[in-house]
Amino acid sequence: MASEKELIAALEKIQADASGFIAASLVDLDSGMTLAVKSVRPDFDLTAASAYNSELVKQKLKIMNTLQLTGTIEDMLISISDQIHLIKMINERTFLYLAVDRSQSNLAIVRTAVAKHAKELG
Amino acid sequence: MATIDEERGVLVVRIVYDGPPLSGKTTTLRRLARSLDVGIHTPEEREGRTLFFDWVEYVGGLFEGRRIHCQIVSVPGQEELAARRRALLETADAVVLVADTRASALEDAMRALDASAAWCRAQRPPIGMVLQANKRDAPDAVDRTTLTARAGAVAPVAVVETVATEGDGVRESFVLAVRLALDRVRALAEAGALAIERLPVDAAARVLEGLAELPEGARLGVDAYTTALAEPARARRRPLAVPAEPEAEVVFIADPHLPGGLIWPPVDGRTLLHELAWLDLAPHRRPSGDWFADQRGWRCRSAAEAVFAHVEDGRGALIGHARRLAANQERLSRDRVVVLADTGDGRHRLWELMRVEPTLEDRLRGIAPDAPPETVARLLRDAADHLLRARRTFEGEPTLPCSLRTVGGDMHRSPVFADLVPDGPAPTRPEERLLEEELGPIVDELTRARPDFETIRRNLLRAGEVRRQSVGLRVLLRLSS
Repeated sequence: MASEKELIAALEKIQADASGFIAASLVDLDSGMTLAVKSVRPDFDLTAASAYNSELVKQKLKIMNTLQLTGTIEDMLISISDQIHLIKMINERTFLYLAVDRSQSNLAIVRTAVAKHAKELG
Repeated sequence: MATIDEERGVLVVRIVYDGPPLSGKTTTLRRLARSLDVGIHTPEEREGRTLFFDWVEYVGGLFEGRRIHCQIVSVPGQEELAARRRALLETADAVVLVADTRASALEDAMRALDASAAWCRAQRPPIGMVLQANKRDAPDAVDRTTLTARAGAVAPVAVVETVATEGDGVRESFVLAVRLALDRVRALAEAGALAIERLPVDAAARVLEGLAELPEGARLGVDAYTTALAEPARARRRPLAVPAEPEAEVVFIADPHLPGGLIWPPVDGRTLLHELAWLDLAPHRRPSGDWFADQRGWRCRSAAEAVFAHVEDGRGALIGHARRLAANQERLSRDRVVVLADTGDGRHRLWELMRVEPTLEDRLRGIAPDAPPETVARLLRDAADHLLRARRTFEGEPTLPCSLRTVGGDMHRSPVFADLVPDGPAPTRPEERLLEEELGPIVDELTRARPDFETIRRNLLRAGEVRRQSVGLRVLLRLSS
């Protein structure tokens, strides 16, 4: 696994490419613990957001299991009136969580930025 | 030790960092604290070595809808502190064994792993272990294949390579340890053995208290490090802090969430408790039975008998104490709080806390060795005058004890009492006796330490000729002759 410094460097690249960047973290799915964080908004509780989004992913996995869906989650998108939250699975154990300001960005920009640097988070 | 604290809605787990001396445990915790953006608490060090533990608290992640409250603790690595190390390990939910993986230190590392693994594997459910292979940037670091093979031969452990001084790998090994701890929690829950209870907020202070009770400097033998954990569990001591014994009293908790009416002053008091909550004050019990702490710029005390079975009785005492402080506000140093804290057994204890501020004694003992003699003479003269003013100010209801240690060091304002307010009135010493007893030792020290003391004395003499009625100068001249 990449070192924390390398992970943060990758998050910074996403920050540079995703306009309206608010915060991003690499999250351990099992525990909801963050492995690396980057935020430009001190009032955005990234630790809590990461933790609760891990629960969201786990619930979705349960739903898929119940529905006997055999595919895997690639990403999850939550559109809020003023923000876009993207969850991108990096591997079975970790995911990237990204929040951007919707007024300064759009889904295409976010997806492109994440796709470009996601490999560096693996 | 994994516990669900329903009241706070958290799962509390303890991750213990173990390892041979100088393997990098403290460095790891410091780096981890920085990475997690939280503080680190180290109660005591000697020559840079941990004597009790390093303690980091972090809330992150989620387990079954509850936040995970991690108590991250490193053990003291020194052989003579093996009893403390063992006591901490006995409370672990996961162990990170920090190992110096340079060729020269590998055998020590493997011996330590062997000892810790013996303990961890013997628990039910077993305690998960991470081998934090540290100092990987060293030129003689053992290659990963050899390391994994050697470690694997001892016990099933997850290996994470780190350079703690740089922070590399430190967070990764921590998150892995949390995962292992959660695995154990699940197993405990399935077995119906997961503790559910309210835990003290000041866990570090409670653990410190428990460790302090262990025989100090007890040597367990030459091979202490490796044998300590191999000893059977029958030697286990009472649990350190959590869960508390039913009859045990929870030592003071600076809880900013105390209900209104249990904190004075109401708003400023709570604000100060927020500051105090991060300081992990660890009061100790004096032979008199009083609880007391003087740490990190704060002092607190609770009288032995200041414990109340009914909260209303305690509130009465709190109001009485608060009234006394309010009535004497002009005479007291700033930032004082009175709280009625839960003792964990249904009772409440009354505490007074105050921010420590420099006293006259601090001012005088802080005189720079190269301070000009006229400055020293002026400081002595001012201190004597200030002490006499304080003596007059401190008379009243109640009469406060007047000494260099209790008078605030700011001589540009009216004297303030800079200590905890005693329960009863203090005796007042006659002016000259007060000055002689308080300033005598200071003058003696200056006489010995300052080759230019005669110049200081001449300065005092000149001032005495101008201010012939000054009691302070008269006493100072007597003391310096």
